[in-house]
Amino acid sequence: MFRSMVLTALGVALAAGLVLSAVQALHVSPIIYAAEAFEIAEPEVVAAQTDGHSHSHGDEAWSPSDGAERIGFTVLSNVLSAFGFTMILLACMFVARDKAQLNISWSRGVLWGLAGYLTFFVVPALGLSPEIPSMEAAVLEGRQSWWILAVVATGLGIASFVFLPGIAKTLAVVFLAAPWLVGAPQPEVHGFLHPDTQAVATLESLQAQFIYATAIANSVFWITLGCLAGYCAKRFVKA
Amino acid sequence: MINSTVTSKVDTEAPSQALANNSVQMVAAAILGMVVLMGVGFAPMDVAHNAAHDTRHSFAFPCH
Repeated sequence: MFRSMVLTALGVALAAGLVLSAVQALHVSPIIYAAEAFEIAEPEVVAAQTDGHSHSHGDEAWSPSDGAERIGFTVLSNVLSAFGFTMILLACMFVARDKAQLNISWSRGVLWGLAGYLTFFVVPALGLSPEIPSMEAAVLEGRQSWWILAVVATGLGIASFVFLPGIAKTLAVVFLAAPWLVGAPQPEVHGFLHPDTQAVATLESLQAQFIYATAIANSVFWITLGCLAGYCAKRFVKA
Repeated sequence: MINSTVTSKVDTEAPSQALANNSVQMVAAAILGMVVLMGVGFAPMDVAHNAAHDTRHSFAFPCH
């Protein structure tokens, strides 16, 4: 069964990852590139202050060159992420089938996809809004920990609401509230530190567009992934 | 290989055992998914960050 799940997830991930890549190339990546045009100006300021030493990412680390190579690695990363999401979704689908007699189908898959969208994008993004490069943010490790907390708590909250009987459903409230009681880490300075006010205005406009663009791209991605995962799980996974 | 011919028989004879076996595989599947996601979305190495940069921003994974 495990083997057929992995193979099914690879197929689903390839399709959903390519759909995401198409939406991303049209609506998301252009905003990232536009924001990076402002980011490149920053190292000069830092370099002057730190005796010629470069910015935090360092000059040494490899990165894909702009154009085909960068797009290629982005598509690969999209497909790998989609594989990770699909494996988790398939595991949940089969556990729900075995423990709660929930049928697997493409239409149920759409609901699973919506649950994934809420869990992995909407709720974490409500606390830590999607960010374009050059935006000030709190310490990375704190944000990563809160992101994981938000995802796990939201997933458990949705599962409690759907699968627990009667009054036990209220446990969902506890799970859903947990990340907000902890609170998402916030930066000391909000927004952008670019010295040019015109540039800051442009970056703020890009940031607003970016939130909509990622919200739409992720919804298309999750509905595609859920629908395909439901269909393929029923058809191809031996169990 | 042997499984393909006797699966249905095994399932009807020992459904609880088959379910328990399924559960282990489901946990393994979910863990594999999480490991891959952590690698793409959260690995701290500069190379991993640079290769997956646009994906991390698009999924709103915490980045930079």
